[in-house]
Amino acid sequence: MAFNSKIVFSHVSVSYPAASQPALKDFSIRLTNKHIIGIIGNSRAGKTTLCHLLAGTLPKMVDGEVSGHYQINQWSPQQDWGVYNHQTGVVLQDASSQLTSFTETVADELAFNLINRGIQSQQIKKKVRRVAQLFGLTNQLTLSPAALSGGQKQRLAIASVIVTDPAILIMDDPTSQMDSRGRQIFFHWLQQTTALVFITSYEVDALAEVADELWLMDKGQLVDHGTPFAVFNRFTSPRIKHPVCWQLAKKMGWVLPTDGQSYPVNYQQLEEAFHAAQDS
Amino acid sequence: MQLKIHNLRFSYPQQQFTVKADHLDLQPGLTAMIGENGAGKSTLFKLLGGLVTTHQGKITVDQQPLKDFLKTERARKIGLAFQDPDDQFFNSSVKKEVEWELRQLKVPAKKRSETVTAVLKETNLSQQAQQNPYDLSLSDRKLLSIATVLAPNPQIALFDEPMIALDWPSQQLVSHIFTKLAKRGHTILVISHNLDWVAQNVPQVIVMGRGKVIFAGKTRDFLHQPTLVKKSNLLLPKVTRLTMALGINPPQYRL
Repeated sequence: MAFNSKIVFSHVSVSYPAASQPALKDFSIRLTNKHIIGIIGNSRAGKTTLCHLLAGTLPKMVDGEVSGHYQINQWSPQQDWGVYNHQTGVVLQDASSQLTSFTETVADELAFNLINRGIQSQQIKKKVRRVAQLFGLTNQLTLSPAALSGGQKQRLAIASVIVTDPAILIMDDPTSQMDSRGRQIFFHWLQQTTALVFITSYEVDALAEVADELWLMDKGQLVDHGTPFAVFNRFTSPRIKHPVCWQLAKKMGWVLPTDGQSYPVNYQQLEEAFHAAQDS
Repeated sequence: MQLKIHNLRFSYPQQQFTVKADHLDLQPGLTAMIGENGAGKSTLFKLLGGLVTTHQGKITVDQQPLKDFLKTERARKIGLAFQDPDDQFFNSSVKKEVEWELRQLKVPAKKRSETVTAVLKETNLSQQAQQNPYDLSLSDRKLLSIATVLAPNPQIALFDEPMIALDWPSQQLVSHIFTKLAKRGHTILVISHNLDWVAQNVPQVIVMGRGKVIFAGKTRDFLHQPTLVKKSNLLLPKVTRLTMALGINPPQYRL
């Protein structure tokens, strides 16, 4: 599917008050026509800082000093905040903190953003039912959000964002508390969305399947970027978890026939490498 | 130290959902509690930790009812790390947070200091000692919640989703800590959604589904029953699914 997007970061740095080191250092990248950008890296790599920048909340709501220039499609998140904010949906790392905490039911929570946008009542009911079904919350619609488990709250936080059909999604580790089926449903949905997606996650297997671009971060810097296949085969340090497909193929000696040395990172490539090994 | 459940029933007020556990026996060693979202894992965690009480059934620690313990006794024997670390911090620095329970247990100052230093080193938080817990990243707050459990060295330690938000090196570090504690004879219960990690590292598993204990026993025995795994609404470990899809024998579960 051809995707129309433009992402420009030009020498962007971020420093937080009283921090001894910048959280993001001289981040520059220029990309077009990307759909799902996975942001990976270990703790303190700058992933959440990038999410704040992409969401436009730094320095408006999160205290920090930002230098450099960046643009997502035709908008500058800093200068075109009003318009940009209307196009974006943000899912925070801590799902509980994102919920309104004053809605009485899950249905009300899902409807909240739509009511604020003046959407018609019948339309709201339809959208709420659809998104609840998508994320396995149909049986919880009449419950209080406070009564939900951690994983269910995370699903609710995501559902309450995507119910507005945002053009740009910024998601900071959105599946950490979900069970395996929930994660599977989420990443399957992600593949189908037409939004431009920036997602940080430790679920490297899922990212390798759905992302068309990975940004590998370390200590506030962009270490590598490219397709999951390229990044995971270039950066082989054990400090970064590699997809299970890659680990299995490496253990079994199943290389891809295209170059005879790279390992697969998703199932389709794994099949290819496996059959090549069987045939040789 | 043995933690047992007998005919337990618990419901939150005004909710239809009930947690039921007829008989559970947590022995020294490492056990994982797994199950789909909303299965009742965190509720059972709170019951085992004495945070909520029920009048139906009982929980015993070495045959003594948990509800009969004084709070300090319970704190000495059972440590808890919550799913949301922000639910448990209230000190102004990482060091004070780790030290807090040692103070409550009247541990002498020198021993407290040594213990805090050792635990911060063990959890890679030495450099964050003077920081406010709420200024830490989520990953470091999770490590801090684990550190606060390690410091008083309880015989029973319960961790609700300790690996959430942890990067790969930190997951390995925490896994190593749990294995080490289990080998020393502690009773460690870890709630986890990471069945890949459980399959490789945890010999015993309790599987929850819709408030009930569906299975309790060896992890490999559970994983060798695909229909039971499916009934639990869980997915087999990734490497097992991949090898099955390729039509080759899945790896053996060694534990």
